[in-house]
Amino acid sequence: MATLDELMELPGAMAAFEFRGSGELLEQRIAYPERINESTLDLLAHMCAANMSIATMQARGWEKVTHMKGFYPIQEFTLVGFDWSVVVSGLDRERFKDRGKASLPPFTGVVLANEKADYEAAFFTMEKPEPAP
Amino acid sequence: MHLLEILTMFYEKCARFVTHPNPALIIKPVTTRGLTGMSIVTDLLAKPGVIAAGEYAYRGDRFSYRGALSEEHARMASIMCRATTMGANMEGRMLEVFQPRSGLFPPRGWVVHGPEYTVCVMANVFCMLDNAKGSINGTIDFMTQALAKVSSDLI
Repeated sequence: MATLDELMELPGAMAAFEFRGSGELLEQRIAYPERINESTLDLLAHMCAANMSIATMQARGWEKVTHMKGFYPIQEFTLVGFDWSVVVSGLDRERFKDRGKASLPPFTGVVLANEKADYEAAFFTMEKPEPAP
Repeated sequence: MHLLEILTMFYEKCARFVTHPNPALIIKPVTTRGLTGMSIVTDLLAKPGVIAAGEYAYRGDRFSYRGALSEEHARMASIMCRATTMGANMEGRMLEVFQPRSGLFPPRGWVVHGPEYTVCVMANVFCMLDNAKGSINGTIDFMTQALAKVSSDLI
C-alpha cells in the first residue's frame, strides 16, 4: 500500500488522502493549503467513494452482460478536472478481500496538477504490493 | 461514401426535425458534435491497444461507435458513460460552489482502470483500452487535447 508521503512524491502532487469506503476523510497531506483544505478533501473523498462504488457496479454488470473480462475489480478511478485530476485506488481493499479479511484498509487518493500528471506512475505507486511482514 | 450511408444520414436528420418533441434539442449542435467526435473516434481506434471507441449525446440516446463491440453493448457503454459523466459534472459543480476555482471544475472526463482494460471518457467520447498494449497517459493526453474545445453547454 502506497503511503501518503509516497503519493506526495508523484509529479504534480498537490494533496494525498485516505478515506473510508463510506467517504469519511481519515488522513491527508496537503502541499498547497491555500488551494486545497481539509474540508475540500473531505467532500472530494465522499465523491470518490461514490464514484468507486458506481464504477464497480458498472464493471460488474458489464462483465456479466458482455462476458468480457478484465474490467472488474476497479483498481483506480480518476476524475480529470480542468486543471487538476484526482486518482483514487481501492486495489488494496481487493487484496484484503482475496485473503478473506473482513476488515478492509482505507481507499487512497492523490490530487495531481494536470500539466505534470503521470497517471500511469500514480497507478503504479498505488498498486505497489504491501511489503511482506 | 456508400449510398445507403448517405440515405441513412439524410433520414436521421429529417427524422430528428420532424419527430423530435423538444425544439431546443434540434437547435443545439448535436450533429456537429457527432461529426467532430467521429473523427476523434477514428483517430483513437488507430492507436495501439484501443479496442473500441465511441461517442454519445449528452441528451437523448444517440450514440455512435467503432471497434470490437456489438451495437447493443456499445449502447450499454454509452448509457453508462453518459450517466457517470453527468454525475461527475454534478460533483464538480458542487465542489466549485464549496470551494471556487478548485481546479477540478469543469470536469474534462474520467478514467476507470481495471486489471486488463481501462475506460477513458473525455467530454462525450469514450475509449476502451487494453492495458498491456496501450498507453493510458497518451490516450488521456490525446483525448484531452482533441476535445478541449467541445462545448459542455448541453450537460
